[in-house]
Order: sequence, then C-alpha cells, then structure tokens
Amino acid sequence: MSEELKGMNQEEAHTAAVQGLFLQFQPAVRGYVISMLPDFSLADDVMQEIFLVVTRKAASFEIGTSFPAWVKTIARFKVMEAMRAGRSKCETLSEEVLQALDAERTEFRSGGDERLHLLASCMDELAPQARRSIDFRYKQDHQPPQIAELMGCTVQSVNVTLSRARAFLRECVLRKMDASKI
Amino acid sequence: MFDEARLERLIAAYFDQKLTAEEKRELEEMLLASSRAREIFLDRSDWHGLLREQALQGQISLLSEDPAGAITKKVTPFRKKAWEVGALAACIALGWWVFPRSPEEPSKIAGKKVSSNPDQVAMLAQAIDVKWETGSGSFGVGAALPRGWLKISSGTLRLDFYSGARVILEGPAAIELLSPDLARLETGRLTARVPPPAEGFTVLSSTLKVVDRGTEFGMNVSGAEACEVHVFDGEVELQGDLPATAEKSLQEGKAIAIRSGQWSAFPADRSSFMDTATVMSAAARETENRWKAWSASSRALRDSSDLKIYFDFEDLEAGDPILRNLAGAADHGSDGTVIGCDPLPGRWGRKGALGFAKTSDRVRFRATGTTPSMTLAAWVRVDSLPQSHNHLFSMSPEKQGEVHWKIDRSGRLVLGIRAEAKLSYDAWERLESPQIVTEQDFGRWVFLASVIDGEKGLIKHYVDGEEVASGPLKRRTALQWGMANLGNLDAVVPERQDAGGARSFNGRIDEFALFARALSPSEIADLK
Repeated sequence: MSEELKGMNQEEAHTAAVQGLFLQFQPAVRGYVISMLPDFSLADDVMQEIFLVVTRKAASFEIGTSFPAWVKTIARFKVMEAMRAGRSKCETLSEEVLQALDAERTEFRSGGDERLHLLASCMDELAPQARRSIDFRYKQDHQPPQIAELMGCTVQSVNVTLSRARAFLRECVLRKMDASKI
Repeated sequence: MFDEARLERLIAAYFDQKLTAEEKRELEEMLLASSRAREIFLDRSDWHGLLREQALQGQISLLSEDPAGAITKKVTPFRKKAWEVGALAACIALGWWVFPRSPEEPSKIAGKKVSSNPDQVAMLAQAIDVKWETGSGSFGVGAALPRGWLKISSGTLRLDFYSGARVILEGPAAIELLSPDLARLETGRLTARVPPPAEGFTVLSSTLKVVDRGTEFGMNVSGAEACEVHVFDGEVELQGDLPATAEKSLQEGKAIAIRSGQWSAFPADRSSFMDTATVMSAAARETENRWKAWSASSRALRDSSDLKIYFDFEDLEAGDPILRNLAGAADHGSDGTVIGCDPLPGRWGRKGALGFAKTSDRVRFRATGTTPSMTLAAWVRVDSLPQSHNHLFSMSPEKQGEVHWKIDRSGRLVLGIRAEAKLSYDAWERLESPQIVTEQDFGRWVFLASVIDGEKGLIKHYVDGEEVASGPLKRRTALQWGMANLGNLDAVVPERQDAGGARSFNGRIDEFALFARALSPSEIADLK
C-alpha cells in the first residue's frame, strides 16, 4: 500500500485507489472523449463529469475487474448525454459512425505516462514555429484562424505546420519507444 | 481503397472543428466504408487526446509547484505526480481541469534550454585563484560569458573576447562586458592585447574611453576619478572628459594618469601589469597544486569500500590498449581495453583523459556477480550530443539487471535498469534528470554521479556534487555485473543494431569510479 493510502478508512482508500486508476487511464479516456467531442473545453467538462461519476460510483467498482471497460461505459454515457443535449458547437459524427468506430476500438491502454513523458522530450525537438503552433492549439485551445493571426501567417500555413508537427511528434514518440525497448 | 491524404486532412479539420457539413458526410462515408480508415481515425484521435493531456499536464505541474515559486529540483516521476494530482482532485472533489487555464506557457522549467545566444561576448579562458565577489555571478573556465558584470575580489581572469581581444583582469576588479569589442572597467587592473582584426577594441571608465589602435595596453581604475592608461605596444586613442592639454593619442612607451580631473604623463610601466607569461606560469603553478591535491585524494579513493572499478586515465599513450583498474580490491581481469579513443588533456593541464569521438570508440571491461545497489561517478566533458542516446556507460546488455547511463539528445542525464526480461519500454526502471547539459556546456568539465539504492528503492542523479533528480526504484532488481562499456553500447543482438543507430558518446572522460553500494550525498560531494 502506498504512503498516501495509510491512515484512510477502507472506503476512502478504495475510492482513492479507483481515482488513482482513473488517472492512469486518463490520457486514453481523453482520447476517447475527444474523438467524439473535438471541442476541448466541452471535452474538459465531460472529463470532469466522468471523474465525478467515477468518484461517486467508486464503491460499485470491484478492484480486479476490468477498469477500462467500466470507465468506458461511464465515458460513453456522459459523451452521449452531452451530444443529445446539443452541447457541441461543432459537427459531430453520426451515431452509426460512432458505433462502427467503437467496434474497431481496442481496450483503453493504461500508463499513457510513458508516451506523455516521451512526448515532452519530443516537444523540445520541434522547430520553434511548430512548437508555438502546438502550444497555441493544445495549451491555449486556439483554432487555426486565431493562431494565424497571432503568428502573422496564413491559416493554410498554420494547418500545414500543425499537421506536420503532429506527424513529427507521433513519429518521434514511436521512435523513442522503439529505442527504449532495447 | 480511399485517399489517405484526403482522410488525414478531413480528420485534422474535424479536430480543428472546421469541418463543413459536406466534408462531414465525406468523412463519415470513408469511416463507414473502411476498417483501415477507422483505424487511422482512432489512432489520430488517441494522439490528439494525448497532446491535449500533455498540454494540461504542463499546466498542472506549474500549479503544483511550491507557492514561493521556487523551482523544485526534484523530478518526481509522472505516476507519482499523477497521484498527487489525484489527491488534490479528491480533496476538492473536482478534477484539476477546473483550474483556470494559464494563458501563458510554462516558463519555469528547471534547466530550461538555452540556445546559442547573441548576448555572449567573450569566453572565460583562464581563472587563477579567483574568488568571485559574493552576490555576483560566477563562471567556470571555458564558459561563454554573456553581456553583464564580472566581479572578482581576488585572483586573475583571462577573457578572450569574441572580437579577438584578450584581456587579463587582476582582482579585485569589476568589469561590465558590453559587446565583443567593448567593456567598462569600473575598478581593477587590466591588460588588453589586441590583434589587428580586433582593432578598435574599447574600454570605458567613468571618465575615459580608451580605443585601441595598436596591440597592447594596460589600464588601472582605482576609483571613480582615478584612472591610468599605459601603452606597451602600438597606440591608443583617448576620448572623453579630458583636459584640453591632454594628449588624445597615446604612443607606445607612454602612460597617463587622471586623478580628480588632474592629468599627468609618465613612462609606461610594463612591470606593474600582468603579462601573458606571468599568467601562464601562475596557471602552471596552480595546475601543479591541483594535480598534487587530486593525486593524494585519488590514492585515498582507491581504498574506498566496495569500489569495483576505478580508472584515472593518467599516463596513457596513444595506442595503449590497457587501462588499469586501480580499485584497491580490483577483480582479476577487470582492467579496461581501450578501443579507438585518443589520450587527450583532462580537466586541467596535467590531468590525462580519454577522448571519445568515433562511433566505435569505447573502453571495455568486465566485472562479475550481482549487486543490489550501485554508484556511478565520472568527470565528463561533453563535446556534443549527436545521438538520441549518448552512452557514458552500459553494462550487461540483454540481461535482466543491465544498466545504461547516458545523456539524451536534449541534455538530460538518464539512468536505466532493465527490471524485466522482456523487450519493452515498461521493462525498464529509469530516472531522467532535467536538462543538465546545454550547448553552452559543450567543452566544459562536469562531475556526474548517479546512485541506485536497492535498499531504499531510490535512484538519484547528481551534478557537481549536488542532487538534481530523485525518483523511486519500483522493482528491486539485482544489478548485473558483466561486460561493460564506457562511452558506448555493445550491439550484441541484431535488433539492437537496427534501433536508434549509434549510441556513442562524444567528449572526454578523465576519471571514472563504479561502486557496489549506494554512496551518501556527502560522499558524492566529497568525490568531487
């Protein structure tokens, strides 16, 4: 048992352990939510709601059973709820497509931390312009037109910079994961 | 088959929320029609989420820094950090994403990368018996000096300005570096030797502007109103607040003094200023003393308990294949074999080192057995970081318990221990330091040490005797002694050769010690 869990009663400890599990799967859950709700601030809200449900229902989760499956049910429910309430301001995919995607999806992976960690060092390898675009897009939740304005270039070139930077980061992380395997 | 490039564009448009209704239909058709398209879509959304997660993580780690805003040196591995975040979230019963998002990028990153800097104006070429004034910055020999003040209370500095001018500064002194050919001497004594390409090199005092038009001059500022200029060779031009009668151009062999507005001329006095030869012999004396002190402590170190390997890199000849293991209780046959590697000067003149330049360069040695704990320590000069993994040391490749000690391309010190037999990222226990080597540190000597404490379950990194990173060793693994390499990694299996290319180190090592126990922080500080 970790240091932090000492001194809590059993129920609190169980809840904390479930929250700990959630944090391990958080990157995967976020990817799942964002695939259906591309708007970051809405996705952030939904993530928060999912976390609250996970906390509230922690008692009903049995340690040892599949946490990814359990959390996915909650996440899917919360995403659908947000969609039906019309909270998304941008185009969302139809139910039929979402079902097809779901059938294709493998179980959530835990330990996104390795990739996050490598992503941090790959960020350092980005050219300054690309780094700024990525920060504007992902840290500050700006859209390409805003980024173009902030950087004094065309929307088209922001799109190109962003997609190249995304591809670079993906390859960089995969390359590093490959290299660390040895 | 579908158009993959088109799919990528549509996915990007979807995530950037600028998909038109028509494009949405097109994307949906692609996704419904092809399993490959769905696979790509899911992969891209996974990465999109990861990037967002990463961005938010950066912000939470800023929020969780201590309130005083001091940069915390300890690097907690992510899982622990996530847990702290979890505890925080649980406390307030809300996720951390409710924190207001900072509009600014995190700027307080420990060991922030410094790129080559136009603000640098000179190199610190020598420092003899120097005491830096308390409260002012201090620099090591070889450091690139930025614009700004240098203040020493005693000793001698040699500054090589990027213009080519060489300045010897005798303490106590305060000088402000302004550009590659301009400095302000507030107090102290300097000698400037200015080769023709640097002509025009200028030193200011509070009342004078001394412009070099020849090759060598001395200047002594002993207060706001007192300044002497001596010309040893060539000519200098004087500008500024001068009496009308004063010479504006001062020739070789002449000197002037200005005290409280009074001007006087007299012959230049070379002997009252340091010259290069004096500096050289002072430097040689200092080197000799350093070597003697080092030599004594090096002898004492050899008898330390649990010292397995100790190389001092002294008295090496080019082509000499054997590097003796000087550890008092050295295992039979644990001497090193030098492959490639040229003997070069070490961290000061008389000290020897081995240079690692070619991708094949390495020192191989072997030790036997296993150990729960280990300490690695080395004096290292990094000349560049050309590889993704620049190996200082590696041991027992392909075995459980193998150890890698390396600097990554971005200058972080990394220690990896293979805790499980499988070939995957999570088979490794690892600790990465913040960036410890920047471009400005290339060519400078640094003392690196890492400790694996199997008993306490800790890994730590030290730079110049100070802890820079600490993290848990979650899986206690017996560390495997075996075939080891300094400055490289053995490619013993074909897969390893394919992955990541060369892993050689570029730089010099002039002392290396390997202990079969965890040294304490004070022991590490003493090694320095």
